[in-house]
Amino acid sequence: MGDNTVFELRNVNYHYLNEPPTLKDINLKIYSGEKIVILGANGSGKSTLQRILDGLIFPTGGEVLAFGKKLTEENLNDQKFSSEFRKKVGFIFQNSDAQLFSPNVWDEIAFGPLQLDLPKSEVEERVESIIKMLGLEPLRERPPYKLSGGEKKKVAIASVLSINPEVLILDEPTNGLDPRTQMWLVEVLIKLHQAGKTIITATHNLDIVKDIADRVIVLSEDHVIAAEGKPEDILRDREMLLKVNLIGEHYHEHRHGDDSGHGHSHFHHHKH
Amino acid sequence: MDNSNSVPEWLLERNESGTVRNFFSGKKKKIGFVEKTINDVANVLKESIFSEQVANKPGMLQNIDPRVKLITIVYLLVIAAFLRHMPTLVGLYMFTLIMAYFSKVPMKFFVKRVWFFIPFFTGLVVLPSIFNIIKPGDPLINLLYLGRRVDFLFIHLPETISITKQGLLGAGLIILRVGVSVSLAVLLTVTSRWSELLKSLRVFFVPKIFIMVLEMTYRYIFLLLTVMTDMYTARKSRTIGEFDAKENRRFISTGIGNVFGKAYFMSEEIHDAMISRGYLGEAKSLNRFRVLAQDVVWVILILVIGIIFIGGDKVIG
Repeated sequence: MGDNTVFELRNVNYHYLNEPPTLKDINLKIYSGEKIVILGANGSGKSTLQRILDGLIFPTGGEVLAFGKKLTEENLNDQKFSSEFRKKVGFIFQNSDAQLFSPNVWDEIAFGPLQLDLPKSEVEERVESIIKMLGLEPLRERPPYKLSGGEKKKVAIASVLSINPEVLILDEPTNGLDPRTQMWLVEVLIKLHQAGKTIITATHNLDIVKDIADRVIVLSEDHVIAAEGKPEDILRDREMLLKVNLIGEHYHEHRHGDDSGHGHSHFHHHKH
Repeated sequence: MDNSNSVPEWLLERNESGTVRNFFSGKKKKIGFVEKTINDVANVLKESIFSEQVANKPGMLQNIDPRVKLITIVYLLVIAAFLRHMPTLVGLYMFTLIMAYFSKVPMKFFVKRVWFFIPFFTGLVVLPSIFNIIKPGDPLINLLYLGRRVDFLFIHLPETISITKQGLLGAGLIILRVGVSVSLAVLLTVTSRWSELLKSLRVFFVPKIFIMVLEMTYRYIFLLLTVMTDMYTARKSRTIGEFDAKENRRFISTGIGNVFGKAYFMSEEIHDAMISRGYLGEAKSLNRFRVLAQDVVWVILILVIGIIFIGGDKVIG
């Protein structure tokens, strides 16, 4: 087990200055090649947890190990460690406008590989192939303010994939996307997982959970892990989902046909 | 049904005042300073989108390497500064028109953009120099006969106040020179994408980090302008009647605060996004520009044209 552990969190706590904690006593192991979904209502601490995993903020208590090494501010100040870690872990932010800071799509995708000192020819090759893979050709010279929400998300994903990370962390990736783009995203994630990537998605979109998770971690509104398990078991546990405020009383799941039928569930809720 | 979340009674009532009969009052709303500012913001967005459109057309200047374009335009600006005769300046202006034509810059826009403002600004500055009060010269039109010279402290007025030939010619030269220079600058900016223009500043040894800051500034100005217009339209859609100036000022000040807060919060997030992709505080960028044969031809052409203009200017006198 020890070898393929990507992240290990031991008693992680986080609070900002004197405010109440946003994470309490988180113990968690994430293994290489896993598809993990972090479920939780708004404000449950999903984003905080992901930021800790990406080494952007550091726990106020407990410790985090990434690839067997301690993930601390001090270690990340070391150029070699930091560049190794950044090569291995990619983070797709919820707010695409914060993530897309370059003057055009091409430069955006090239940013990561350039920072990691890849040779010019390889940077160009990577950018071109990612553009091709995600079908971004018509957008290549566009400035970010001329992209739609869905296009922005695609470019954000491209800009992280060009680093070729082993671990992909996504914060609410389906937010604000139309159903077709959501489907596209789910398919990309499945493809990447098949290519051996570890995928950690934070979401409150229950419809996509089964497709993009082997294991689900549920954060409660008091910022602790409320449940952990297979997506089918978690989604069936109405009582728990109600308790963490992920569903309302009138929620029920619809699936078309048999579970083993299509690769995807269809998106239907009825609210009464 | 969940009783705790039930819809309050008043929300279920239908608003009857909006029936067709009294939908219009006949009174027009005044446009306040807030709305004017917002319209200006919208215009900024519109113009930049327009110039981006021109930059994306397959024209002559658009096909030149941005660095080469920047250098050659600066070279032509220097030439314009050295020309001392009307005919050569007019010739150079004709040349900018030809360049604009082949670069698919809309002619009407190109001429208007330059000549709409210059007469006001430069014209106003050079206006005094056309009279013989400032500099003596051959009178062209006599305006006022004073009868005798006036010398009072630093004021020296000649017998007759008139517009001089030399003054008019000098003023014309300056206006024309400014016109040519502005035309060249407009040509450069509308035929280049902003990002390319900024990147090509590297040829003048502008540091990378400086260029990166400019690029990001430009990118996020757009975002914040959109935030501003959104805030305003959101308020407008909820507005019944009009606001007085005081209320408008309050809206502006809280708005400024909001946008500032948003910008600050976002700057942290952007920094995180950069760090996450391996940024270590040193700007690294890739130069995708390539000098092609056509760029070499262009440089030679412009060099020769510059020399011809300077030579022609010498020949005239």
